[in-house]
Amino acid sequence: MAILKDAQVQDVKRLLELFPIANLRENWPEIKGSKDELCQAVAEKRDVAAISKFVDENLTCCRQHVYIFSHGGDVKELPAELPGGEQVVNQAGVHGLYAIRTQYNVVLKSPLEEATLEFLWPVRIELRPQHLIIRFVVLEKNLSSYFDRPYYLGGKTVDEDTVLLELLKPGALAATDLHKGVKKLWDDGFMDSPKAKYKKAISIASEAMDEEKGIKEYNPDLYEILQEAPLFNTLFQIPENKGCTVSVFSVDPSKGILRFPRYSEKKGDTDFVIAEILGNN
Amino acid sequence: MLLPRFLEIISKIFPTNPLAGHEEALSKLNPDKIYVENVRSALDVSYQSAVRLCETAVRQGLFERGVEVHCPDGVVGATAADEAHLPPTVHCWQQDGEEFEEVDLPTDTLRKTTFYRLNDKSASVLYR
Repeated sequence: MAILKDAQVQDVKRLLELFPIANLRENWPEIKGSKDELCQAVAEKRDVAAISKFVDENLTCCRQHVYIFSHGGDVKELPAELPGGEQVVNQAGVHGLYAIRTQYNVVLKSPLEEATLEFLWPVRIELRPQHLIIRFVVLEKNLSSYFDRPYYLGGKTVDEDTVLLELLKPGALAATDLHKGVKKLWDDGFMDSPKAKYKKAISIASEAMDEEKGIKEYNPDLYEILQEAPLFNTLFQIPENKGCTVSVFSVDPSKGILRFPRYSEKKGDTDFVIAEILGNN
Repeated sequence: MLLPRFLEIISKIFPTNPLAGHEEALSKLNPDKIYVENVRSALDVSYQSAVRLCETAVRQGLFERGVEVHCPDGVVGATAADEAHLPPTVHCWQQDGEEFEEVDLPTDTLRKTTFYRLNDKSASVLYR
């Protein structure tokens, strides 16, 4: 856990700011104030064990990108480390929490000046009998609160591709095609899509519904076509009455990628969506 | 279906029926969302003629006018009877690469389009 132990207070604060305020308050009810004040106070305490535990237990509520790979039983253990990062939690070899040190390159305007901003980037890897699931918390791209003037945002020193490339090196992983599970849940009414991109015989088409109406409910003819078509990145909404606080997510089924653009309120709800897709796949 | 009623009613309004020969194209319009371009194309008339026809239909109580506000990608974010009744901000999804990002944008900065819908009540009253 050296990466957390040796981190600056500001790095830990930025790490905590990736989490929903409700989860932070629930975990540290004795600390009052704004999210900024709460994160600062927790970071200053430097209780690495408590922070690691919080990050591990609450990561599923964050905005995140999830990559699902099939390994056919060939992967037996979690990686000991990731590029630029180290394992900070290992839950019985079933899942590991990693913290990666990455840096945004930023060009400040008026006057031009180069700057950097470091983040401790939480990543979780789950090892299942047939699948390896990698979750990247989405880092804040709006850095205006960190700089006092306009800026251009450059790349990150370590990004998702860097990590995935390293994990894919041994050659045991293949992206899990999620079409079957996604289409089953769509057909069952668990979710509906207001934005879909799909392959036609000799072209790619996309449909974006007015006022976020669902394709299945409002455009049944197209829905029938989509049930047969290869889908590309497609947005889904889950109605409130399904009891799942993941209200929206996107999926690129043939790449095995899910993206959760909002915080979810209940721990485990992103797990639920992933499990439902894989369970019906 | 409302549209056959619309065809008959509009035929009574205009001395020379501008719809003659275009009934099939018109009957394919969505009575809840009629754009000027739909009418122009169906009747093969000028844009101004199509606007005149739609506005006449509004004055006659056959059409209701509505306005919709578009997100930057063209999708309709909200609709209302007029601009004053549109919400001050509209929820939109934008794509940054493969990422869907949601934003709330001020309505007054976004494109608006006038549309028409068949007035169910007036159409049925006039039809009797």
